[in-house]
Amino acid sequence: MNKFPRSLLILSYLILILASVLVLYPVLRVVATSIRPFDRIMTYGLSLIPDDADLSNYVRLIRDTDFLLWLANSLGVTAVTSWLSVSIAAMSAYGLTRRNFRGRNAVLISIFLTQLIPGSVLIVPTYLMILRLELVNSFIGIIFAYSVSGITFSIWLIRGYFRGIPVEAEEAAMMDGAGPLRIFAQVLLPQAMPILAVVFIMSMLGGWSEFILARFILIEASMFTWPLGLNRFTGQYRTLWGIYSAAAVLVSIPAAAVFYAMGGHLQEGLARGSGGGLGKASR
Amino acid sequence: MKTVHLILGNSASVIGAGLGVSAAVALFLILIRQIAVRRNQPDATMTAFAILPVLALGITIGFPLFYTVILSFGNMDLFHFHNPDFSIGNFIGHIVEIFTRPILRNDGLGIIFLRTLIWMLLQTGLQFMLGLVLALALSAPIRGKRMFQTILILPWAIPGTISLMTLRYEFHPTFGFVNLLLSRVFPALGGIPWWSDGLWNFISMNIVGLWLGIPFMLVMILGALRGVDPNCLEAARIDGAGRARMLISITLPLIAPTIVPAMMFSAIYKFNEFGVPFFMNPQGLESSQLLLCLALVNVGILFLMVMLVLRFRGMHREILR
Repeated sequence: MNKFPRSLLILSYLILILASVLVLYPVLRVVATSIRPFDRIMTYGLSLIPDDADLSNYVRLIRDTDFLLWLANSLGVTAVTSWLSVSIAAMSAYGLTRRNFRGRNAVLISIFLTQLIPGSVLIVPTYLMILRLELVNSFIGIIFAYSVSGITFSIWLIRGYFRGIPVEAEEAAMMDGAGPLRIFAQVLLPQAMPILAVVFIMSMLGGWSEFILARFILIEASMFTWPLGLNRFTGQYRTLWGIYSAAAVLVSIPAAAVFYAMGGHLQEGLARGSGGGLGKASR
Repeated sequence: MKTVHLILGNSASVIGAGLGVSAAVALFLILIRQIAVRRNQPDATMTAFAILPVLALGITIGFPLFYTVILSFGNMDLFHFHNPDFSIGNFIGHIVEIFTRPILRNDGLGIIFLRTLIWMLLQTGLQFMLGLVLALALSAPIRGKRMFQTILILPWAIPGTISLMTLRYEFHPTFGFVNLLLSRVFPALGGIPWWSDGLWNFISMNIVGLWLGIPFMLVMILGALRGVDPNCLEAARIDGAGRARMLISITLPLIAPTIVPAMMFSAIYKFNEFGVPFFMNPQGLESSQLLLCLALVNVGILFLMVMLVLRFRGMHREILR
């Protein structure tokens, strides 16, 4: 290869540094606000690190608000729904991969088409449905809705993975007299652990910060998940900016940590899922 | 103490609800299996598994969609909420109303639709262009490649709700850092009315939409660039192609099969986007509000999109495989 031109190299650095600043500045500003003493939140300054940083906002957040309750609600809902979501998606993918039946293609196409339906169209009828079924202020509705919301994509990913697993082991198990349920649980699933982990984490990250559906279903303050609670801090007329920032830092750190820990897997899975699902890409 | 009590109570009901949903799923599976066994179908269990997603998506998506169509025949409003009447006349009246009367306080369908279209095209186009610029900069022989990449996908790693609630406030005309920064650099500009002027509000939505959306596109483009065979580029260089020429004639066509579907997905997503306009418009400005819930028209657009995607041979082949 010929030498990379110096001007382009400098340009690359400039672009990357500018973009990094644009990405980092708002994030760091939230962190900075969270450690600024409570009485000096509203500031006209742009500097990031305050001279007299303390943790008073964190203390107030935990002592004076229901943040821990919201966090516990979110954690419970997210954990239960991720588990359900992976189970439903894995079972569906198994049925749709290893068995050829009439109408399988119709099922596949129709579940794919549901992904194209705009969520905003469904808001009003879903709300009416929730009202009629008296699911307002109950966890059942939200758990079911969250469990199902991401399964199309999950089925796609898991199905792609199942297809890559040779069927010989399953056939051998069948010869030995194992039923389909047993083959699924003891032969297929252990081999598919990597993709199941990816799907589990994706479903966790999705449910962790969902706002709109929760807003409809959970009206009572003691049942709030954290996005609802935090939205209360940042109303138009009254903003508890320091406390909000502290909460934002506390809920973002675990999500970002999980995201980066998954790193390559998630991106690979996504690239394979959508690329493989739509074109001949990456294969 | 009260909090601990509530946490325990809520956890119990969450777990209870989870068990309830699991039980419903299990019951459904057993039921379908029994039916399949009765009808002497082979692999009854598998059939039950395969039908499971249809039921689940039918409840959360199919039924509301069906209900939308039903409601379009009714006259449900504030005064007829509990006992609406249904008739063909209502349906025709609604259709006429959608096209002739304003949907929001002042704006009619045409202008809202146009605005949404502009939003979609701007977002998808800029997302791709800026993502491509960043991806090309990252593929240059630079130091700290990993560090830059980690930083640049940060908006994807942060929960979306947090980013939106934070950035909404950062566009506050007086206290948000955007205006603070601008007034330092260009004092003549004065405070930009991000919250009260329709056009500026729309611009702020676009900035935030890009901030949130570029990392996804960047990762996609980086993945696609990795698949480009360096030999092709080398051959082009030997034939005397410049860098711009190589980018346009070799790299872009080679990454297109990956990127075009991703852009299509992104365009659909942006067209239906609710979060960014909802959060970035705290004063409910009409002149920058996007299409919110126009069931019928949206369904029409949806079919258009579906056809576009279905036309993509690759996907079709993938489904039928």
